[in-house]
Amino acid sequence: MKTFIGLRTLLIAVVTIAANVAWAQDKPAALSGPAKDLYEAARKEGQLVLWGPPTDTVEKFYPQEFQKAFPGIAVKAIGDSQAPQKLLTEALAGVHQADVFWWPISGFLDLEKRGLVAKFDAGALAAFGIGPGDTTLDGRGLRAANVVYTLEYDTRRLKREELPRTWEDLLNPRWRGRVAGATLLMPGVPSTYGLSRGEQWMLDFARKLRDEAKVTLVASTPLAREMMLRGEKDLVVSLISETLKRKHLHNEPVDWAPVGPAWSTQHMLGVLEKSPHPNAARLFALWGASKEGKIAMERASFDADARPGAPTRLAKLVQDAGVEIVFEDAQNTRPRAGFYGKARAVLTGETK
Amino acid sequence: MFGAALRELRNAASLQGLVLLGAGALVVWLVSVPLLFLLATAFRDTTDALPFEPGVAWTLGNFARVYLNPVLYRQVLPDTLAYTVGAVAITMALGIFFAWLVERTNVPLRNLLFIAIVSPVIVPTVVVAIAWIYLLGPSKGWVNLLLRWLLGLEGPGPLDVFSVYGAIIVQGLALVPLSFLFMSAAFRSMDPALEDASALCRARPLTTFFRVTLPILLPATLALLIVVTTLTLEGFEIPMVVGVPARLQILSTWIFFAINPPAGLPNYGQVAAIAVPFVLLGALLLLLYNRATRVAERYAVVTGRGYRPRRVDLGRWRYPALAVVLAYLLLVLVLPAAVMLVSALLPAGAAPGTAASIQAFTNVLSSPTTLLALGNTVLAGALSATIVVFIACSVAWVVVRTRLPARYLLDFLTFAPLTIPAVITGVAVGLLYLVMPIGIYGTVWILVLAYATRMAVATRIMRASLIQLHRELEEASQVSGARWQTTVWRILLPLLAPAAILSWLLLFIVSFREFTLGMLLYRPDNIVLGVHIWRLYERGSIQEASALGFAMILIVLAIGFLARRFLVPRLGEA
Repeated sequence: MKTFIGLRTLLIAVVTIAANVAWAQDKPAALSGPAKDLYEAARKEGQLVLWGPPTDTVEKFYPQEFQKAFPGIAVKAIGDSQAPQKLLTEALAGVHQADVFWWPISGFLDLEKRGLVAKFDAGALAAFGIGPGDTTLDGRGLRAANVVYTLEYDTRRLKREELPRTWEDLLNPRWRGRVAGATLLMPGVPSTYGLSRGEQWMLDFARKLRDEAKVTLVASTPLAREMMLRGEKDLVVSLISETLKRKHLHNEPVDWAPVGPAWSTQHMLGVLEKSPHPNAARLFALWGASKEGKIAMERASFDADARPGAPTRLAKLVQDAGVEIVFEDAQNTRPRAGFYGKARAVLTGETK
Repeated sequence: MFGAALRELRNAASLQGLVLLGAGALVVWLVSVPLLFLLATAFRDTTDALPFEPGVAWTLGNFARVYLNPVLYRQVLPDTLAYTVGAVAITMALGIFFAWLVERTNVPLRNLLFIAIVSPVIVPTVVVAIAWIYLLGPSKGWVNLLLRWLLGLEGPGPLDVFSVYGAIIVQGLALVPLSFLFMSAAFRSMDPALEDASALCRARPLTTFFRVTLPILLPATLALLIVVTTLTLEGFEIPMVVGVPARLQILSTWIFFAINPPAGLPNYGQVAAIAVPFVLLGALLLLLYNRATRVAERYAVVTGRGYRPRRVDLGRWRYPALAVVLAYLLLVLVLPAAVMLVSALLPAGAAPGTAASIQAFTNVLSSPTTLLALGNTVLAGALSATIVVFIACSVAWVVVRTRLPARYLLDFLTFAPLTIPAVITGVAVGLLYLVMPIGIYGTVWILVLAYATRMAVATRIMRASLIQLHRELEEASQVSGARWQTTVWRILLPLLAPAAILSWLLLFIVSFREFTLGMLLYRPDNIVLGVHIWRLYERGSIQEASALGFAMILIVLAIGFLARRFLVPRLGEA
């Protein structure tokens, strides 16, 4: 009998703790003032449409974490690698179905230039604890996460100390024909050098990657990773958050190598000027750029702010590894996009 | 031209006029409107604007930028030519050879071979392309591992899927099932009486083949040649998955990169400028096709009557022929299916002893997105095929049976979309229905309209069938007092049914494996299977993508078996 009571007490205690933990994770955000009003208005709209790249971050984790914080608002997520072009085309044609988008500054600028991105007012930003350092483009873009380039490797076959420390190390004959990367990411490697060493050096480096290192361009990063895990390649050009996802969420034997200079795209959250659900869209973007939103997203998807001093594990991780990072901003994104286009033409063999 | 057409239609029976007018209107709507939109876009300065934005200037600059670009002549055209010629040669040679073996010889296990050869036909090409990486990857590809072990070789290779020949082989093999299906129908419906007559005249078999068999099959062979050339030219998945690593500059990927700039709007004007010569090429091809098939169509003997073709006795070559087909099947069906199954059951690089799991099958087959994609794929494929077959029958009738001046225009309009790459069709259709406030942008209906532009082959097939039916059949029916619709229903349709069903099946199959249009017009509500599988790969759900690919092969095998058992004999009797 005593044993039974003991077990029952233990069981109740476990269930109570588990329920509390679940509640602590899933409970709606405690709000007051303008934030609370915004949530009420958003609930009346009941839904929002989020656009971004075709990743789990957009299609799974953002909707999941937002709905935990703000129940009652459905998130329809659309992941599309042509999202900025489609958004721009649709908006110019007078079709306004999207509310909020998560994208690097490069795609943001085209929308902002045509007055298609709404501005956040200071009161709303303050209500969510978002400081001036977390906004850009005159308060139209909210800094959400940094996606940092890296080299991913199979931990069963390589040790971290064997790996390249800079992208130029890929020219070492050891890696000849052993590196793969997506057509989307690979040109980003030489183009970052263009910012510091100029176009000619960048183009020469791209040619060496193509002709000497014999890097393989493939259709997507998961395909490159698959080839690596099957032993077809040794290294994959990837993103730190993606590698961490595969390592921790999918238990794959992969890890990231600190390779510099690493380009970090600045992913922004923004609201379309003619959003059909403006309150839900604003709530989503403000939450995503708030400390709570960033913590929730890093916990779920490893996507996080990597800037120096940011209160995230990712920021500490890259700082401890001593990676030289070139952060995307409104000034360097255009020149780098120009280099990127030229590097892509070299790497795909379109130009010599 | 249109005035005369209307006068003639007014004189015709009202239902007949309505049906033909409806078909004509559909052709004009489905083809002319996007085509004109595309042509206009080619002359708009869309450097940083959309073609329909106010203030956009007219220009010839798009043509200059595209056609004065040395890359086009130095790399894109030579690479595209080599790739297309190589792949089409493989597709045509194997498709025709296997069709002849199965339909006209006594090779063993014919029914089984038919199903096995056809079964990969609707598996999205992207799945097949990725399976080939696992097979012919230079370091760890299964085939390479086997060859190295057998030949005592070291290092990577000896085969490399990421090469020009690798891309040509993968593309060439991918369309063999379609080519086989197409030519099987032609061989099956071919009256052997002419071959017999040739043999009676003591013509040698080779002479009979070249002087009798080939001319009879010319329309079907030319139609097939046009289809596979177009599908190879516009195919985007294999050049992207296998061609880009080989640094092949294929036209379809070149256009794709043009509409995916690192920043800013795609230059729609330049994309449209690329399309203009294709329209002119279409007119030229149509002229050549009509000239080449004029005589053959007039004397061909493909009718609604059933035949029991005489089979060629292969003698001692029966089993070697069977071995050739089985070797092909091992390479293109068994090994890719095995790769997909292993990829579905085990994660990549799983440690030895890792237990296999069917979780990926459970996940993907119970996913609402899979069901939605399947529904959209079937709906878009079936509906667009039905619309096109209706158009094809009507246009064929107008072209063959009337002297309407508009028939030449209709003939051209149904042919023109064939020569425009799907990437460009997708852009044109997307932009058009985005601007047009009819609410189909982002829905499955836009896919139906985009797929329905593919009316060239069906129209050619129906025209070839109709030309062989004597006009007297219809006249006899009319003399007996039957109305036009009764004549169509009781006389024409039963005789045209085999050709119509073949056209419908081909269109449905091409739509089922469609990727490019689906990708360009993608929205979550109109996702199709090809795009769904690609997105699974894109998001890293490789096991689920492989599971879906493998499940599709199994389903097609089952459908193929049933079709061969029940449908094909009935078609033969029709």
